[in-house]
Amino acid sequence: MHRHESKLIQMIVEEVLSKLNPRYMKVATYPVGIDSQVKDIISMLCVGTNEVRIVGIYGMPGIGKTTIAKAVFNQVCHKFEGSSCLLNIRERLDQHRGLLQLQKQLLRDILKGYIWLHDDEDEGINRIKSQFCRKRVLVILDDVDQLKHLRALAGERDWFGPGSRIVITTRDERLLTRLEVEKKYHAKGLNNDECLQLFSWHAFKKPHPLKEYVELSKVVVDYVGGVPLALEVLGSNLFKRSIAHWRSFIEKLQKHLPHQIQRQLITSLDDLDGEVKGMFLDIACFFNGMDKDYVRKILDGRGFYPEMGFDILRERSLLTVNSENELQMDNLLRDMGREIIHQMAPNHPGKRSRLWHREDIMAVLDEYCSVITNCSSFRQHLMKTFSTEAFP
Amino acid sequence: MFLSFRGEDTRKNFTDHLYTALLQAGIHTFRDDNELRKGEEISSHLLKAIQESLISIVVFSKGYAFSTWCLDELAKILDCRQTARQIVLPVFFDIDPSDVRKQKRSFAEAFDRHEERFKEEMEKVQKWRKALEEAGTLSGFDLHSIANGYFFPFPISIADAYNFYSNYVL
Repeated sequence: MHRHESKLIQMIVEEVLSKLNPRYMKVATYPVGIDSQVKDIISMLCVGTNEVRIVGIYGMPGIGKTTIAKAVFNQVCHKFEGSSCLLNIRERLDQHRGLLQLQKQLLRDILKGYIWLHDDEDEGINRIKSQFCRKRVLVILDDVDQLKHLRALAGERDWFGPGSRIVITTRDERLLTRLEVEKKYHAKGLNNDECLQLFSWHAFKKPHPLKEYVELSKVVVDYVGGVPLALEVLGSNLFKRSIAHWRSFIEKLQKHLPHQIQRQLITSLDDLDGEVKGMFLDIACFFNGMDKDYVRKILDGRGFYPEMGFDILRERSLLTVNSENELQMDNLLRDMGREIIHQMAPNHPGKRSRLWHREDIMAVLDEYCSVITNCSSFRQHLMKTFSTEAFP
Repeated sequence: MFLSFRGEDTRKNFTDHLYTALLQAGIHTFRDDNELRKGEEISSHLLKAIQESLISIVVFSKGYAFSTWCLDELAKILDCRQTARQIVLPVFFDIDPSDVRKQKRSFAEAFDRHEERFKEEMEKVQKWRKALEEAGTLSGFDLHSIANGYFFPFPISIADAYNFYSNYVL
């Protein structure tokens, strides 16, 4: 069959699906690299068997968890008697009576038609339990960060009828462990080719970079890694920009993360303890790529509880440890951490809690030296000391 | 939903694939099995299927208008569009939407034949013409413009079109 014909068929099917099911969701403008992940999750769901299964998707912010969950929903929702997809739960809970609104949406989606509106969360729980326990449903709970919220939406497996499936997306693997979900899926983002492709769609509206932009595109993609959110933001920022603009953009990128990305990523630190956050910032500023045991000793000396902290950071996909026992932090997360420190006092390095750029350190020491002493040999000694490879 | 097409033109490839794709997506699809037709009149079974569909897809091919069956189906579908708010998605397979709308080229030939044959039943022929005129104005899918990389006559947004495009162009 002709290539265009298969394209046409795909378009018709999508159109019919969206017409038939008003809840059919728009997945992504350019769904690159989603298919294989969606397939993996659908196989984990084992739709058709009689037990109630929960599958959790975890991973760092911007990695595409929600996108995958939506695509899964679209592909399997017709196999259930009722289905509901609750998006952005963490954010919506901040709104007035957020939990109540979510309960109502859940009831409305699944029961369809008129529902008697309840006014109290416990009542909502009872209604969900009593109405859903005989129905085979599919529920997507997107961006859940606290167990207690889950308790008001999908507290126990027996709330739902046989064959029901619950999909949860979260940044915190620990939450899935506590829930004892049947399967966990670690969303790891895109591979190199997919990254370049997704970036090109946003930057050029084409699957490949324009000829004269190939090298620059690769620089951006290498920096960002497999995070679709960042590829999208950077790609659209660079759409129809001159080569000169690209160059200066990239130069700036290496010092400061664009605001939109920073804002998204920073929420992943929101509910961390002060100490764990401190550890995160230390690693972002100083210890990325260094030996875990070595760093443990330093952090221990700083008054942190490193083993616990490593676990928590790992569960939230903020940190990984590679086979060489080295700490690995994603570029974007590292720079987000550094940006937090930078923002403490953008123009006064001396007022920041951590310094890692050689120029900043020298500037602060310079200032310090000129106050304490005028001795230039002391300054030279310092210069030498700090000219190690730690501050290239 | 209901799938209307002319078997001789598109059955072996396009409509078969479309039909399979729709079923795979979990869409309950009814198609008129062209080969089982007996006699001239469209069966009540078929009319009922059209009536009960929420959506009809009409695949217009060069030979579509030669089949009085197809034309009867189309007339019924457009009836349901008026009375039951059925959604109708035309697919212009190897034919220009304006040829359908104004019954030009192969459609003109077909109608010369029909007018000759149904001299006594001109209102039937008029009904078909009206149906084609209406269907030709509906926004739908045009294979020709997809092949050229344009998407104008679609009822979906450009962003959505890109979305699907990106999956298949590579």
